[in-house]
Amino acid sequence: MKNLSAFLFSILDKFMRFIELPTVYLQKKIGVQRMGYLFVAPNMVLFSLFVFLPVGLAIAYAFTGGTNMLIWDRPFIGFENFSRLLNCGSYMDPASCEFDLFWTAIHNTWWYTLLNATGTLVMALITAVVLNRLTKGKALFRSIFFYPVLLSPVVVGLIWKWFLARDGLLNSLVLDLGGERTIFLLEVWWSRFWVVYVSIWFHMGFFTLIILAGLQAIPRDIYEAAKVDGTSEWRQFWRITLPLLTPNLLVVAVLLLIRSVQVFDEAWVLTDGGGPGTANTFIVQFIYQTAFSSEVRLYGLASAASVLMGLALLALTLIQVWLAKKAEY
Amino acid sequence: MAAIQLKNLHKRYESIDVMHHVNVDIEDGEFVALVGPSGCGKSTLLRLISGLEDITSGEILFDGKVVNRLSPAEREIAMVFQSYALYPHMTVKKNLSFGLENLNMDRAIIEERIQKAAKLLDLLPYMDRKPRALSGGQRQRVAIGRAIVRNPKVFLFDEPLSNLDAKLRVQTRGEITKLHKKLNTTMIYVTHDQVEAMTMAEKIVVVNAGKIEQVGKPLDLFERPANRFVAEFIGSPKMNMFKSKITNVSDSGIEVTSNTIDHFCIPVASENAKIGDSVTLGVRPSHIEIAESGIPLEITQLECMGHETFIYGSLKGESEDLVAHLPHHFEAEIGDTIYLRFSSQFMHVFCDKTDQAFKRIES
Repeated sequence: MKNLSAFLFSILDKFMRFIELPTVYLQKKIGVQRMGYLFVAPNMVLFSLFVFLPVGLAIAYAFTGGTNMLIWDRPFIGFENFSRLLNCGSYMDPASCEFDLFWTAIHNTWWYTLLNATGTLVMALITAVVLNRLTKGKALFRSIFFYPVLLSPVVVGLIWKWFLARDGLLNSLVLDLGGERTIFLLEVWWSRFWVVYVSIWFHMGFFTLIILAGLQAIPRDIYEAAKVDGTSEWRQFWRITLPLLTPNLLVVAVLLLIRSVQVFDEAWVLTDGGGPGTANTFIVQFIYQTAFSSEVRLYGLASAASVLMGLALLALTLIQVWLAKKAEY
Repeated sequence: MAAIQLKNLHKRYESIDVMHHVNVDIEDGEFVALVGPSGCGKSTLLRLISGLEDITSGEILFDGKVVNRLSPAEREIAMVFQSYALYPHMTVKKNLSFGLENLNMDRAIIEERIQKAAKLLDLLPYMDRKPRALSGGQRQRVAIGRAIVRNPKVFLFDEPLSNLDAKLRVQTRGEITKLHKKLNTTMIYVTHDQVEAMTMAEKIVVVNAGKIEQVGKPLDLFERPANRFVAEFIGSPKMNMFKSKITNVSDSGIEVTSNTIDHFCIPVASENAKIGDSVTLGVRPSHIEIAESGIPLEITQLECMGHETFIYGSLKGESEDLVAHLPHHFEAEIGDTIYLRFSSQFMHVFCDKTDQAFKRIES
């Protein structure tokens, strides 16, 4: 071990000696202040290539039509993609829209986001409060709740698909208990319930950790002062813990909203592509299908839907920043 | 107001004993300071009295009633924390009223009480501010205000001045003393700063390693320390100590000899003294006089403050340096030799086996 670290150190030493002269030369040439840009440049190049460029391209595609892949082969059509997506008799009735699947996906994403964000937030809060009160086994339970976060979404989708299948573990348990077999993933409301449930199970651990960190940051003597003040446990939770946890809860809420709007992989695997019918088709799935899995590949329309989704997420983030500033104490 | 008795109080955390069978009586309306070095258990003792920690054995009595199992609120205590522990999301007004709202008190009475406390502590201009918009001293006053509004039987202070700067500390010290005189409520005040304890308290409890070393009035502790720990802890700079041997024992005291002094008679009770026993002599820096002749001291450091002078130096044959405090300006140079005189009536003798002080014969 000592030899290895000595070897690694000697390599590092050689490297530092190697770059010393050019670094000193560059410092003299461009100044110490500007050297910082040079250090972040490699990351910025990759970031631009894989983030800024695709975002820019998606925005550009949103204003073009046709089915050609290359941007320069595509005609500019202005806001037509947007107006077609937004062309609805009534926004409450997807069937009255030109792209009914888009609006069905929006409706589905809306209820999914509402249930998933609320459910995960409440469950993560309860779990964190209970974990925070444990005197023994805190680390063990924290690991148990965090474990699903380490799994790949596809694995999560598959595990639960098998568990909920016609001949899956859950149905055999129900049958053993004298119940009736239910095809959970083929019934609209059951499948929606399980999509939300699996998502809460999958993501809750991560948010529990954020909330737990917030709980542990509340000074112990504030609780002791409350105890001296004769505050009941319930009142202490509502009047002290929750208000002091608000900044953390806001971060969690916004992250949850953003993640919920972006739901795709685990729901796609679990429901075999958003089924039954379009009961679990969400916006990202609509974008994916429109661009890549339909016979006529409408890249422009998919990009316009992406831009609309991006704007919605941007609005949510701005609201979070504004609320976080207000929640500071 | 309440009189407090701690009877055989013991506290153990898992296998570690942190308070050892403590017995203390605190009178109704008394201002008591718990002092001791960091980690000695004084804050633990306060928390046991408050009810924030459970005791392992023993009894805590408020006005003769055992309160071991009562919550802090049921004990009717109020506590001012070292960090102030203000509710950061509430305004000053809300911080003051929160505890009273818990008692489902009438709104008008709450308003009256917080106005009274705010007026007393000069907090009226800050009522709508949150703690982060207050200075350290203002936060401190809010913490005290939060305690006052509850009209508690006992005020508990856990090193409340340690986060303030020196000037504000002196000022707040005076304010708390005034407050005690005005409210006349029992106050227990934890501090590691003996100056705070000496200047504020009517009674001092010296705590060391979970044990009570001595309980007494501030001057008693200074003049008649019960043991070597109290002698060294109380008083600043600390008491000078010399190794010595008993050379004679008589009714008028004991005679000691050390490297510095020869056949020196000190008026302390001699029942437990035997010729040849090792003892430690103690003399406070302020009880040392400069003389024309006497014990020679080579000055190694000199601190002249204008109105007082601290002289540090080494005595021939003594391992520890000596410090003398003169209440006036003294002209000398480092390296000079001066002569000191000790007055036997101000000298303390501690048994080396038990560290206990020999009792002084009062003239």
